[in-house]
Amino acid sequence: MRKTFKVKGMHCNSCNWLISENVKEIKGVRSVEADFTKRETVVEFEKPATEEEIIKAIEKEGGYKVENIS
Amino acid sequence: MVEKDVYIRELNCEACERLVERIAIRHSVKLEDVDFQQKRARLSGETPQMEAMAQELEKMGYSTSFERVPRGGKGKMRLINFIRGAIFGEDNYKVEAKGVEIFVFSFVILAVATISMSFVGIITGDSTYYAFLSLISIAVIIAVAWQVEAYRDSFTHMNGMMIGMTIGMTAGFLAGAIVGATNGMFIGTVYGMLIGMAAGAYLGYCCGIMGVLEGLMGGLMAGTMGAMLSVMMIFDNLKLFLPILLASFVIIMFGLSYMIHKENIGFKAEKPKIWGFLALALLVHIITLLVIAYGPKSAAVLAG
Repeated sequence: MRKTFKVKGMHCNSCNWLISENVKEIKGVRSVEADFTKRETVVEFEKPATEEEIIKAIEKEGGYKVENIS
Repeated sequence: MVEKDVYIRELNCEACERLVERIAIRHSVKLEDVDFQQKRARLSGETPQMEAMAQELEKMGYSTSFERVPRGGKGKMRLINFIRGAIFGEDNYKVEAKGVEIFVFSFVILAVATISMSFVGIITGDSTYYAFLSLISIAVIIAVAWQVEAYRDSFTHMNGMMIGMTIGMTAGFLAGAIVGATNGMFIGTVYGMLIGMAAGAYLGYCCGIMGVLEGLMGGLMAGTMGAMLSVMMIFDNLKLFLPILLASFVIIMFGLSYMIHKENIGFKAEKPKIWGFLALALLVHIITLLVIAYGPKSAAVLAG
């Protein structure tokens, strides 16, 4: 499954790294592409990973908020 | 256990601080505190671990240095060292020396193009004078553009805004003034705006949308002003004034180059391909000469 998470609060390369590292820790996540210029994170995942877990990982660092998933 | 400072070019915000802290912990190093103004992270731990941490940050695309990045203060000697280093290609001035090399190469290539076009009768009379001013302008701007490209990944947003605006204004003003002098207000304004906005936006892009917008606005304003100035001075020593204007912009470009150097002391630089820049300089110069030669001319210019 491939989902795009629109993330409010992403503004620099460090945001890309922090979000990517947090999401990669989830079991079942195959790849993460965080792009602060588009304010989005594209995640390719399979079970047992869930959207809720990914949102939690993205918002783990204060200052980020998932606004939309497509 | 020692305490050391590491300077990180991209240390701008809390997210950067959190990332640095995370990498530090991974290498058993403690992040004591950060200073965003100085781009400094104070670490405590063992030196080899700190170096490994800096290497990991480098791999992630961050520019690090354990030496203090000097800024501001009394800069007279630094300015002299900068000029000497750039001319003689000394260590720490390799990028700037390459910029000088590009200026010389592009000057020669554009001079050959100008003489060739003059020889075949495309550029004649007063236009030859303006073509000469155009070639110096382009050679200077292209040299600084190369320096910007070399440090493209290391600039802060503030640098990007300054670069976008300065290059956009310089390119737009000079192109507008030169073409305004030979073709009049309309062609001069349109050409100045196009050149200024394109150059400003492209080089301001090093630092995101703010740099791009500064470049676009600088190019737009300067393109209009350059042509306006030429048309207004057309009966009042314009030919004498334009070299003064050009000299002023050369000083500004020198200042920009010095700023870029100072902002990037101790950080890595890329090596953009020289031939691409020389080809771009030649293309812009030939288009400028063709506009001067074949572009429509206003009544004021014909009368002047």
